[in-house]
Amino acid sequence: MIETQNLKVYFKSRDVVVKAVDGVNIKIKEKEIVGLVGESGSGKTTLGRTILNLQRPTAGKVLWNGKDVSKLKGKEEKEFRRQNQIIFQNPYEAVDIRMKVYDIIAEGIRVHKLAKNEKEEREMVMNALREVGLTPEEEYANSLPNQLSGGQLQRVAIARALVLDPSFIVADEPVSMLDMSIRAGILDIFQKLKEEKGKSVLMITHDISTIGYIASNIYVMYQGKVIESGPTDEVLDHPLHPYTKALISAVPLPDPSGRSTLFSTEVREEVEPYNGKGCRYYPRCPFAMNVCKEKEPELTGESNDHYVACFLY
Amino acid sequence: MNKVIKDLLSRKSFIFSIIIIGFFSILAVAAPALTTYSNPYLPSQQYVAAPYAVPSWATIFPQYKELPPDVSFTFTKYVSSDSSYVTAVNASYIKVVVPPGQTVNVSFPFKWNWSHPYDVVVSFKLLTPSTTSFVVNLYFNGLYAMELCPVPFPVEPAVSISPGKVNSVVFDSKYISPANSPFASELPLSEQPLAAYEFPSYALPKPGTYNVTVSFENTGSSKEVFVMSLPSYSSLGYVYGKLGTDDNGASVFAEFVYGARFDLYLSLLASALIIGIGLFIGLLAGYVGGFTDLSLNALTDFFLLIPGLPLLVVLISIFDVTGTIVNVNKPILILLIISLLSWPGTAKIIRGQTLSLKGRTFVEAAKALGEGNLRILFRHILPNLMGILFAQLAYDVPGVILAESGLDFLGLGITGFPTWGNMLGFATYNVSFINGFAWWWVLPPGIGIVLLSTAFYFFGSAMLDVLSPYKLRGE
Repeated sequence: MIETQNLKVYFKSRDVVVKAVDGVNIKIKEKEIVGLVGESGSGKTTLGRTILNLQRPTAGKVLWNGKDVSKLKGKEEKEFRRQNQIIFQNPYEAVDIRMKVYDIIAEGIRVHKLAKNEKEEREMVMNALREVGLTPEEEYANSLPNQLSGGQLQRVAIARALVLDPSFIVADEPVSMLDMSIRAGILDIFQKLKEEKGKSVLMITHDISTIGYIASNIYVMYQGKVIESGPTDEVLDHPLHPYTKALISAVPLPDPSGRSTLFSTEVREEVEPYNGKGCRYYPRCPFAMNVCKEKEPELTGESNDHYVACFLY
Repeated sequence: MNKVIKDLLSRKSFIFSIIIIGFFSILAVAAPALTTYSNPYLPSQQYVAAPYAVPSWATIFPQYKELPPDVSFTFTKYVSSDSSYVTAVNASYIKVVVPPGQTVNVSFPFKWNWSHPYDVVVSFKLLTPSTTSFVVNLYFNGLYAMELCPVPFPVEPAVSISPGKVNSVVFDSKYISPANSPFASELPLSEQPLAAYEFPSYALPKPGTYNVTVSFENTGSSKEVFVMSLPSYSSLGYVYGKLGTDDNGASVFAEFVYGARFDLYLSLLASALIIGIGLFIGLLAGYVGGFTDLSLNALTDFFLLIPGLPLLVVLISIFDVTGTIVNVNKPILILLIISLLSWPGTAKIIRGQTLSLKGRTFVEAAKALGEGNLRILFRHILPNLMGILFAQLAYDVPGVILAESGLDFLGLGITGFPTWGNMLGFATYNVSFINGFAWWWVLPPGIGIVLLSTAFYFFGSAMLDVLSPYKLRGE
């Protein structure tokens, strides 16, 4: 239902051009949780924002049910906003702290005039609060954001998105700011959304273990490019790209003694700067070859939906 | 909201500011009730006491102890040289019968507790006989104050009085000269011009009992009958009211109160205008961005770089001297000019804050919810600017007061009615060590400006602290 076609987002700052997203094609089908993994600065968040038309693309298109989202107008744009929501990384920043929780959640209902009267609006807000596990909901509805913890606030942010009954949600690192102990609770909400309500989710994260828990499909990004993609189990069990391997081997394990048997990938010290034409991972890749230095690898299908951009395969 | 108020009340600086602002607001609102003089700069409301009269409470200081207040009374007692010639008609009139060739003196004694007053006024009604053969003299103790003659053009310094009629006799020491008072004409030539000034100090030099004497002299050959009212006495003192008087004998308290009224009124109005313009331009520039931002910013910089006070002086002078705008009154002109020159600072601050708010995630979240620009502006950006707006409003008030007072001080602004600025301006022309530097005239507006400015500054700081969203979060 949402796909990007050769999407490029460049940021210009004086004479330095930062290629945050550089020709990305991803596809999210209905009732599917898609994971987007990458290190800080790899362009994950920019991609998420561009998909929701919060950022203008430099080139390429985002298609929502076949329509270019940057060209939507009037009613169609409103419907696009209602059906596609975003949950931000930092719950403290994402809500207007001057408003009560009730008003924060009711904001979307009022904008889209989803409730016929105040009673109906109240019911919708309370349902949303209950859905994200903020009970007793009356008490939460009347509190101010500064009275809530990060996890509670993130649930409020999720409730704000859910109250519009969207079909697609971009979750931009929804658990990275939260305690380990409450992460699972938040992730369960997403799991339930997919299974019980059939929503699609693009889960952006830098933590590949979170994705393993929840996503069915996975895209790995490195410096604005997708370098590997495929079904989650396939990518996690048989990572192909050296960078993906490094990411997986960096996941902390309860018993580190077994780590060396899992993968033995090492990251090379960056000895030379990126020359502008070769593979982006070349300066850090332990398997770097001459051809890596000369041109960029294309994303090619390896086996059943598993794609990788590396000359090793 | 309760939390905000509780937060505010926990600040000493806020309490201080509220007390000061409250005090001056009450003063301003209650001005008509506090004083009967609505515009002490009108000649009709001047000379309520002597010029440079000190406040009445200042008599606790030894150097002001002897100074007299305003005194006015009607005599009730009289003493005559021969009581058979003088009889009371009723409570306020006496009849004087003067045999031919004789003189009858009627004295009115009174007690004076102070040093000499500013002037002496004695007045009474006198029914004269219809002959012309009499002279009525007025003495102040031993001083020959007035001579009344029943001929149309008497020899100076005698004054004419019509025979057979009720005459209103007024002796006013302010207007005596060698032409109308024997006292003045008997002075040495060099002192004669100062007669009006010196009379009170000759007549009532120090505390004691004094007499006003009316002497009836019959120069004819038949008995003559006079009827006179008991005279009334009044004099302006050197002690007056709560804050004394200025160089024109106008009440400084009235000036101060009406000055506070005008200053508060103008500064609040101007601040509102400044905030209005600044908010509009700042929001537009900050939120829309791009070329709009660039051009509005350039405009703001242009106004910001104009040296304010000199331009203010030039503009006011041009408008005033050339009379370009005849029908616009001066306070409005000053209000507009000050406002139009003062908004850039506010606009810059609001633009900066808007820029920072625009980039915050909750604004993006609002956009993602499908909110329009106007809704985002009014529901999210403006409420988060509240702290800064209040602070800016409060910070602008002292600025406006100072600018306006500066203009008035220089004599370029308002001169027709009292403001704190022109009070100080007029005072600087007139203070000297002779009038003790008129501290009761200089200090109130000076302290008023300082206190009010400080109070508004504290008020603004407290508002900024409490209403700022960053604070609310408790981070």
